[in-house]
Amino acid sequence: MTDEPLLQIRNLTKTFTVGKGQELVAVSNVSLDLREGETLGLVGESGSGKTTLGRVVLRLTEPDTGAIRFEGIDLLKLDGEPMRRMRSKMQIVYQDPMLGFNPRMRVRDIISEPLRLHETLSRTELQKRVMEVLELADLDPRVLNERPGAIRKAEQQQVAIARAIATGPRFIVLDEPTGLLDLSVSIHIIGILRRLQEEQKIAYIFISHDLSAVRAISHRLAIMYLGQLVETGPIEDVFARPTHPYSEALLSSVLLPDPKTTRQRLRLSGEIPSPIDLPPGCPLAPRCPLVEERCTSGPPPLVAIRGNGESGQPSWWSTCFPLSDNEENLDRWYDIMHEHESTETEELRAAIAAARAKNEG
Amino acid sequence: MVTETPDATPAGSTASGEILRVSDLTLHHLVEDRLVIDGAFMSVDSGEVLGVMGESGSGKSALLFGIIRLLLREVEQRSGSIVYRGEDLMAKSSRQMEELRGLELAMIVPGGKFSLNPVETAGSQIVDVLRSHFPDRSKQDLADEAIDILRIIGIPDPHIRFQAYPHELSGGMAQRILIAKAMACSPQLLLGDEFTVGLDVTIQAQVMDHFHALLRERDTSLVLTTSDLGIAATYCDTIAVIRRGQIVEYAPVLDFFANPQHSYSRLLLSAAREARAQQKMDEARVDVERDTSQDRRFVHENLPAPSDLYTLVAPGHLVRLEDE
Repeated sequence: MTDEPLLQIRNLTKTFTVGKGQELVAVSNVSLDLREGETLGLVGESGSGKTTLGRVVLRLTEPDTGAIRFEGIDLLKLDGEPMRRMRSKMQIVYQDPMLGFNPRMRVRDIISEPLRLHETLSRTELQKRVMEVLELADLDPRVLNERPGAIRKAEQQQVAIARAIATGPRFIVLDEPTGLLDLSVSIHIIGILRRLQEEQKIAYIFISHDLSAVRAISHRLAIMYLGQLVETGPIEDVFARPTHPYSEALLSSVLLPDPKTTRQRLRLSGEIPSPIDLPPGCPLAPRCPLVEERCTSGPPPLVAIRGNGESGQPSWWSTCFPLSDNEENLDRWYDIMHEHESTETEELRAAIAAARAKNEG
Repeated sequence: MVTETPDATPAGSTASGEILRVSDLTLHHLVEDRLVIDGAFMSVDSGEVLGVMGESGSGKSALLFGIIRLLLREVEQRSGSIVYRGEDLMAKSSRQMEELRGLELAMIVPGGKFSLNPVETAGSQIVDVLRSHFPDRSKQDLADEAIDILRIIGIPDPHIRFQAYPHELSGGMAQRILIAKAMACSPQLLLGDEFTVGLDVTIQAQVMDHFHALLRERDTSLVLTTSDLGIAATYCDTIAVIRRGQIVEYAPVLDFFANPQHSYSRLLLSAAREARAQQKMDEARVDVERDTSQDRRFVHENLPAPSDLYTLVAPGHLVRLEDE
């Protein structure tokens, strides 16, 4: 292992122009590191820019500004053939594998296609590699002669994984790979991905809004809101003590599979606003119960919760004005956040009663 | 506790508070030649939330569509009775069923904006529901009522949303409109088919908390299908686990989570237990013991009698015997 991360993303921004020249900032000034064999869980609500970030990192969508270094090479400087060759080392698996398959091809050809594109192998070598990745993806060889529409959903996803690992990539973006699957099947897929990572040292960016799946597979967690990363840190630390109000709101919204306990929640008002023409300041400001005047004035400061990583980035950080006053005393900060938590049943009852009274009156 | 056999129950003799009773419902898919639902039963009291849990393809949606009598042409009902407030729904003509749907029992469908008519405003889709049951009321009167419904469902700025087209709504807002449509005529029984699937967790919590409080307030019953143990534990009073069209376990929620009996239920819960154990380590999580003494207990006297298929392990807790 080298000291330099496998993937280094710096100040990546991607803006789309929509409607009459309005700006939609899908990814805003994102910096991240990913090490060999590491999984970064990327979570956030729909519309937060997770998928765009995943695509920009692979240059499936061109970023506006920023830098992407992969194995020490500046990806944005590559073009044509060198970039095409680089693609064998970085792959993507989508939520719905069928969208990425030619439904008329057989599974055998789907899996071997990247090999035929990227490598010159003899028929026997090709056959051997297909059988190898088939086994790595825990697939039964009987599927080889099937068309993708004829096999089960989970098997389709396993075929997508087999195809992604065929060329021996170092890095895979997994975009909601378990999003359409039932719980037991999803656990099976996560198991395959984890084993693959241990054996092949592949790095993953795992995009999902299934927080328990993210927790089961990730080493680090990055939480995204309206195109920006609001908090990044080691997975268990962030789950145990999230420091950004949005992280706390998101993680405390997960319903407990236990009828005897209820969870206090940090509640945000309203919904994720449109990402078009965002006002300056913290993106959470309009919904945050802890909002202060300065939160709307300019971008919130980056608060290092824990030390500096080797490449100059703190290993755990968060972006929040009120947090920056309490970074020395996190216990106090949790108390402040928890003052805004409630089980809210009373409030809800009152709101409903008020609505009824208005209705009847 | 359990005395009556399903077919010996005459229509009309409902237990106190019972609003829906399904007995021995069997649905057969003619084309695929398989039983979609095989001997399903349930008993729902007013104000009760019954969670039907199962994987995709287990038959949970078919069960709901069977109750509201909206089955595909190729699905036929082989046996069973569906009794709603003492009335046998099987004996109703399709015209009579149409009058009941929306007014007495209504379905909440999933899919957010894709389940709404894209060329009609949210408000007019609610007005449509109201008008079909109250054709004599004035347009303005119905519009006012629709706006009130939106407000009660917890939709901010109801006047603005009333005029919005589905594409102008977020997923969470569109789902609330679908709930508003189902609740427009204040039905006594709601059937919810995985209607929070696809919503983000923060929005799901917002929608469900408000909806659940509203159900309590109005004493409305809900039968909801879900594959999410968090939803089952948080909002349901009773759990029915369905697998391959058969109900394998039926229990009060506390009983189900504390003492699952069927191997399939245990499998479902083992994943949840693991997640729960992890969460215990989350220091910042403030988990509060819920005051369950306030919860209503629903003990049903109209469940099938223990037989060679089901054993009764506790009051209201039935388990299907396993093949192995």
